[in-house]
Amino acid sequence: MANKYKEFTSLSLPDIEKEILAQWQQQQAFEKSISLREGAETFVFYEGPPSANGMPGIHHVISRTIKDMVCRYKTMKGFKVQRKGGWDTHGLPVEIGVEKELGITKKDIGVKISVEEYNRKCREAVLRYKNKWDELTTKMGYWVDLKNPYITFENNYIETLWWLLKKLYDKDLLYESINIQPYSPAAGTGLSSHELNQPGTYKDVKDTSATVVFNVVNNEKAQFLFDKTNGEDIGLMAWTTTPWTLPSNLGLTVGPNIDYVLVQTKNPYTEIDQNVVIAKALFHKYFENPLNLSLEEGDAEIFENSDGKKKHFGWKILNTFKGKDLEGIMYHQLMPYEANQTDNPNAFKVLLGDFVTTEDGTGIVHTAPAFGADDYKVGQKYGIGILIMVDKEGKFIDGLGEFSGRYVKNYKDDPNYEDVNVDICVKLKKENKAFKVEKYEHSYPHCWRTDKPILYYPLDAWFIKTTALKDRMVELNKTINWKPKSTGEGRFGNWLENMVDWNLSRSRFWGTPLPVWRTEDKSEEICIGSVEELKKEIEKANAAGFDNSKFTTHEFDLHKPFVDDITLVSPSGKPMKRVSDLVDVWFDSGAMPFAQWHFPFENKEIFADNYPADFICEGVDQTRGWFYTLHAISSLVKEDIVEELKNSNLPTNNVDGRAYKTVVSNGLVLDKYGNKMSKRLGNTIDPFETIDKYSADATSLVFNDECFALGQFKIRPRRHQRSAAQILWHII
Amino acid sequence: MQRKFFGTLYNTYQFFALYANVDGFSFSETYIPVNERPEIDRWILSALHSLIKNVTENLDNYEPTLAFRSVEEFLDEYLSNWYVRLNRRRFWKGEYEQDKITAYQTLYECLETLVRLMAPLSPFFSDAIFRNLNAVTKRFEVESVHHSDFPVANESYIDLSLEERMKLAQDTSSLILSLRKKENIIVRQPLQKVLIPVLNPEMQAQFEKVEDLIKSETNIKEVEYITDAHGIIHKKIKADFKSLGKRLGGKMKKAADLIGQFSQDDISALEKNGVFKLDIDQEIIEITPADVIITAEDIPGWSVTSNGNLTVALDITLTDTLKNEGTARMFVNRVQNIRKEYKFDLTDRIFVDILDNGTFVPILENFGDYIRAEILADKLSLVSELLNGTEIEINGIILKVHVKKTS
Repeated sequence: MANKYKEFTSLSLPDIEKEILAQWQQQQAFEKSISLREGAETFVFYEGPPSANGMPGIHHVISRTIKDMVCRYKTMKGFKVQRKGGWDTHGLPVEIGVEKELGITKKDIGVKISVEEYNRKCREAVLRYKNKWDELTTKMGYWVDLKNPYITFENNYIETLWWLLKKLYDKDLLYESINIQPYSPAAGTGLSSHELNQPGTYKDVKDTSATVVFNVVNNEKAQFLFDKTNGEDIGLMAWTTTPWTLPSNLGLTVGPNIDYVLVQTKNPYTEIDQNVVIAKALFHKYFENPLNLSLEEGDAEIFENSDGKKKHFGWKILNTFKGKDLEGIMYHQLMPYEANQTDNPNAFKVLLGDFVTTEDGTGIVHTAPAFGADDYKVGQKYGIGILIMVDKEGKFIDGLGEFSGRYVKNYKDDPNYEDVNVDICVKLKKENKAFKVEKYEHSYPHCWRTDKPILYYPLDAWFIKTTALKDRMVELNKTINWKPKSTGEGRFGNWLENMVDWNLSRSRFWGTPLPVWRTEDKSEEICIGSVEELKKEIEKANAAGFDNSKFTTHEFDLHKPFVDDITLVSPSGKPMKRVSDLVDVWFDSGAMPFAQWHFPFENKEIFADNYPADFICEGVDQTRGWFYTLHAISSLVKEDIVEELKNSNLPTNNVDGRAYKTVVSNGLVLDKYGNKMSKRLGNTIDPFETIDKYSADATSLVFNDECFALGQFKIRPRRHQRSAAQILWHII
Repeated sequence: MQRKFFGTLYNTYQFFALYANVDGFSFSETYIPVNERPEIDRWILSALHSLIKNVTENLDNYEPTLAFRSVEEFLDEYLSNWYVRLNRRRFWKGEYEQDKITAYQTLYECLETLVRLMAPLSPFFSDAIFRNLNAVTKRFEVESVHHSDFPVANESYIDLSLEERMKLAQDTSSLILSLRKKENIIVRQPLQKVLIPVLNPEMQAQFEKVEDLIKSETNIKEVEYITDAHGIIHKKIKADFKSLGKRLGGKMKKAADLIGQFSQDDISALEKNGVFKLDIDQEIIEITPADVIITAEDIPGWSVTSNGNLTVALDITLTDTLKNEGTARMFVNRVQNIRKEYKFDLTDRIFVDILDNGTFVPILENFGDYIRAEILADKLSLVSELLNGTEIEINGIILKVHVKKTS
């Protein structure tokens, strides 16, 4: 026993921390903080798995500060607080990183490099910075169990995911459908709506927009129009911000009860006489009226050149009618080429759709079923077929004349890229088919990993029918303690109210394979829910004479390409191959309450003690990410979990469908320009330097002090005097 | 803010460790019942246990910001700037006996509890201090603060009325000190009187219990309570657009005009009742003191300020007697500095000669005994010639003195 209180020699927090850290390690203080509470009530905490393929940044420190604070507090309050660490190891971020490193693109995989080799690279890359992460964890004094972390690429982890997927499959909550989906040509994969809702994905961009003229076929249906023009040509005007979709056009959709007018005028570019159809409510957006004439008084011969620069062409309204009068009118294909010929009799006609508005454009919607959800739906209804003139890399297919092979956006960062949309407009102008071409600024979604604009693209995809349990998810959310409350009611609540089915499919290589095998004609299929089941099915197939030696002789690995080598046998004796899809990486992390314990194959009791979480905490950017997928999966499999626990005589009273009872969504650390910090943008602050120089305690107090008070945590040089943010700025 | 926070905690711990090591305090004596401790000790313990409740509630609600801010307030405003400062002498003076042990036990409990409350928020530094404390006292059978239980408030320690009047003493002292600063009158210069308007007898009773503290903190000779401030303190009122504008919208202008016309009685009524009814276009609108800004105007010979319900009027007239006393105190301070400079022992007795410049006679007449006692002077005399002496400055006047140890 010391008889003197140790006096510090100076207030050097970093030195004091090093000393304390050494004592913690030597005395195993963290492990003891748990073992001393053996037998006590548990306080359940879930660690959101970081991805260790990049260096940790200061923004990772903020959530960890709060997590650590809460877990230490609850420990001191007498709870046993286990904190199993975890690593998110699959998915796009990892693959993009490996592609960059190897200098390849998606289409080289399987060609220049085998899938096996590629996935081995991914496996190596995912934990590349694990040591750095561990060092940060230690230095900041974040107490989490790093010795037994869950790792999402491990077979056991994947097996739990398969078990969950099969439960969903058996309940018809897992289905396949063609769907027009957000698709990233740069990443080569479809994106889910929650990926599209990551902060910063919507960006203001200037695109070339065009109002183009589709010439009406003079037949009986259109007689009431041609009577007014004495048989002169008539054009239906439609507006698009994506001229590259025009070669895939198959229809024009109008609102049945919208008023349209037939206008006699001149084409502004060619100055040739032209008769066009447009919604009456949008007439004024295209036609100047310097003499303030009423619509009846118009005169096509009045030609104004009032300011010497801009030409105003005269106009005369020849007829007014409803959209439904136009239904079935045929028009000539706008951009006919060899590749986009169709003999579908329903193509190139006017359709009726309720989604048409007179908010902007012309009130006539250019309809390319391949590239818009509404377009696809109305196209299906009228049976107009589909033209997909752009391939999955985002370039025009062959057979489109001068446009063949050209990328519709600059996906390749080509410095000499010329905008194909501009060239399409130039061509249409020359052909008297463009009425107005201009730059249009709008908010457009971008891929969260590549920063490139997405397209809407028709893909076969597997979905989880989250909408079937929407009511449950909304109700359960009301019982979750959100901090701040507004995030739960607003951001998350709105998200649940407007949910769509969860697009689970990813057409990549490094991820959890979707465990569905089926026959080539899609008539028979099986969803595998465990390794044991897979082995049995393999044996069955082998007995039926299929060769699975490649798989069984190989080290057991549930990833591509091995699982794709497996041929199973259908009840009728046909071969079944795995569907090619991988599972959305957010399913991996959302399933961690189960998969971290390899439930239900092992650890059922531990699971029962640790489900659901009392507390989780991550950045507010996880609201539509991890917070959502945790909530969705737990809501969907509630009954399956209860059943599984009951079968083992374990208590089920805690299982109410919630994955977590309290969730803290902390503000983001923004740089001084107000941008989110991320490794992708390279604007992060080095947390190691900060901690070495100013101590972990000071850093974490800055966050604990301000992160809740502010919705966001912006680091700016000049804030009000006493702001901790300013101090952080100084210490950094 | 963070460095100030850790710095304050560091200084408070270092202060404790320095004296506890000198006196050999290891919390081995019996725990002195709280009701047997002086009021200032009961106050800091009450504040400490209120803090436990506050931090627990905020952490239970996942509000670390609020938890931290209450810890910070306690450490800075209560423990360091009030309790330790007012009680310094109890640690460095006197024998190791009951009062000193009480002071040690109280400060120790505050530090030990504080680091346990802070442990989740600043896990390293709190553990460093906890380990240092516990290494001597072994009050906890754990290695780390993180293995200890979170403090639980002892309701019997909490005396809200005591906390309220100590807050009153702190706030009043700080108002008076702000007036001294504004009038450029240093604390060492005694002042005669402060007037404090009280809203009710309870408030006055609370003041009376901390009156001595206020007087010694601010060096004022008397406190006078007034229930009717008419003719003494003149207050000005205007609407707080920020607070009221949001609520009243279009009626704001009319309300501001009405408030601007408040009489002194109206202002008193608003302060006393906490609410005042305005009639705006036949609609009755209630306003509270938070909706207005009330300022007190100075009156000749007095300096006035207010903050919320609290107003003080400071008598800033300096009579010759007050001036002389101030000079005497400043003289004592200068001589003490010389003693330190010469590295005299605290108990050394001294002779002091002052070169007579004509100003010091009345001071020696009235305060000679006081000065002698404070500086431990066996002789204090005015001389007409001084060969080697030190120049000291008091209120801009240079005085030559000679200090030497009594041989």
